[in-house]
Amino acid sequence: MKEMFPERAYMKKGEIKQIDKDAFERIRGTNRVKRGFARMTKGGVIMDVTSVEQAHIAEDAGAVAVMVLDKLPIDVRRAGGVARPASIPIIKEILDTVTIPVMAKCRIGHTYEAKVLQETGADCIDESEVLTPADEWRHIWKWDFVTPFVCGALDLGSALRRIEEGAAMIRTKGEPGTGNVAEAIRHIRLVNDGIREIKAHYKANDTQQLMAKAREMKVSYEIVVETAALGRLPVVNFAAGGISTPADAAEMMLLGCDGIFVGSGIFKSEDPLQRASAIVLATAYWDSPEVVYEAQEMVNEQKAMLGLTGPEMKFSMQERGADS
Amino acid sequence: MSKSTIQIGILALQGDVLEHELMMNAVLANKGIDSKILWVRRPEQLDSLDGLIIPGGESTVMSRLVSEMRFGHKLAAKIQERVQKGMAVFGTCAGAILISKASKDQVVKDFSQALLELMDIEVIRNRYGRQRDSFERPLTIERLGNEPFPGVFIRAPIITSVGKKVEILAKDAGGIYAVKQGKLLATTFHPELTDDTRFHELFLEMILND
Repeated sequence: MKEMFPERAYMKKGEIKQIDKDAFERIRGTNRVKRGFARMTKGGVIMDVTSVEQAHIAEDAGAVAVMVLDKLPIDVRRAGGVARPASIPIIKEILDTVTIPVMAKCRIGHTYEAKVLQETGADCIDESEVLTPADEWRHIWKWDFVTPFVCGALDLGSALRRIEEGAAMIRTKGEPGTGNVAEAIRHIRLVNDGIREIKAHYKANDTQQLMAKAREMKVSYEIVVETAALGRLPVVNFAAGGISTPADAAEMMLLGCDGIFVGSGIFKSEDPLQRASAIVLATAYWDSPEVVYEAQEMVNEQKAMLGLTGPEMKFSMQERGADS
Repeated sequence: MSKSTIQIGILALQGDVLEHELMMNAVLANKGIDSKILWVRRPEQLDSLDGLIIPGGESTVMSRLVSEMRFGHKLAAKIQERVQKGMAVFGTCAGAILISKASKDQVVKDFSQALLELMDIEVIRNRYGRQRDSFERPLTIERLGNEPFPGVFIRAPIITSVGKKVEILAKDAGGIYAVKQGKLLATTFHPELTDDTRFHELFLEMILND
C-alpha cells in the first residue's frame, strides 16, 4: 500500500505528537495534520491583512486564509526600523470574526514570538523575512510546534533546509512590497530547475551526484532522494512576493505553484475587493486563459499599487535570515 | 453501470484535488477499470460524469466559486441537476459541508454560505476549534470491516443531525463523522490523506451498483 502513495510516506517523520487524555485518544500536531492543513489551502489565495475590515474583505473575496501583520510589506519598507508581528488584540479580533484560517507572521529565528503566536490560536505561523530577522544564525526549530509553519525559499536548497527544520509549507520569497513579480518567478524557476536536476541524477541512479547535491545544499541525502523521487517538493509550495494582478497569479500557477500569497498588492490598490476576487478567480482557473482574461478585465491598471523599485526599495527582503 | 464507460471527476477549483485523484485512480486500476479521473472546472464537464468527488479545502472559497455570479461560472445548478439524474457525489470535510442542507460556524454565529443542499444533513464548521486542535484518531466503521479507519480531522466540521433517509456510517458520543444517503457519501475527515482506500472503494461500489 505504501508504494501506492509515495508522497504520503514523509508524514511519519520527525513529528511532535500530543495525545489528549480524553476518551477519544486524539493525536494532535502530527505531520499528517500539519502538512495536511497546508494541502487544504491548495489552489487558493492567502491575503495579507492588517485589520478586521481588511480580513472581512479578504474572506468575502474568497481568500483561502488571511495573513495578519502589523504593516503591509510596502509600508514596512517605507517605515524602516524594526518590523515585528501584529498586535495580539488585532490577531485575536480577526480570529473571532472570520471563519477561514488565520495565519500570522513572526520574525526569523524568534522561537518565543512563535510560541506566543501559537498561544493566540493562529492556524499557521509564517517565519517571515518581511519582519526584521531576530536570529542571524538560525531559523526556528519548527518540529517542536503543534501549529504548522510556512517559510520563504529562494531556491531548492533553501526550501529543503526549511522543510528539514519542520516547515509544513513553503512559499517563494519573491521581493515583497515591490509590486514586481520578477523575483517570485526567479525563485520558483530556481526551485523547479533544482528539482529537475536531482530528478535526472535519481533517474540515472547516480548516488554519488545526489550526495554531492545534498552537501552543496546543506541538507540530508534522504530529503534529496525523497524530493527527486517525487519530482516536486514534499510539502505544498506557494508563490509570494510581488504578485499584484490576476495574470501574475495565473503565471505563478503555470510555473507549478500550488497557490498564491498576495501581500501589499490588494490593500494598496484602489480596488481591493474587486482585485482580490479577480485574483481568486484567476488562481482557481489558471489553466483557462479565457477566464484569466475575465479576471484581468475586472481590475483597472490605473488603480494598481504603484510598487517600489531601485533605490526606493531601500533593502532586499529576500536576502534576510540565516542560511536564506 | 458498465465498468468500461465509468467516469469519475473531482471538483478542482480549490483544495486537495491531487490526493483524491491519486487514490481514486489507484482504486480504479486495482479493480481493473480503465478510466482516469477528470478535473472538473466547467459545467459542461459534468455531463459525462457518473460520480463527482468534492475534495477537502475551504468550503467558503468553493461555495463562492461554484455559486456566485461574480465568479461567473454557475457550477452549482449543474451539479444539482446532474445529481437529480443519478450522479453520485462523495464529499470530504469541506466537500461534506458543501453538500449539506445547512451549515453553522462554531465561532462566527452570524456566518452563512451558499450550499449545494444535496444531502439531508446539518453540519457545524470548525467544530473542534482551530488548526492546533486538528487531530488524528482511529474510527470504528462497521460498514468497512473490523480494521479501524485512520481518521484525519483538519479544522473539521461535525454532522449534528441527519434526516430519515440518511445512513450513519460512523458516530460516537462526540458526534457523526460519516454518512451515506442513496448515491451520496460524506465524511468530516480526510480518507485521501491516508493510505486506506476503503472509502474510495465504497464510493466506486455505489456508482457500479446502480
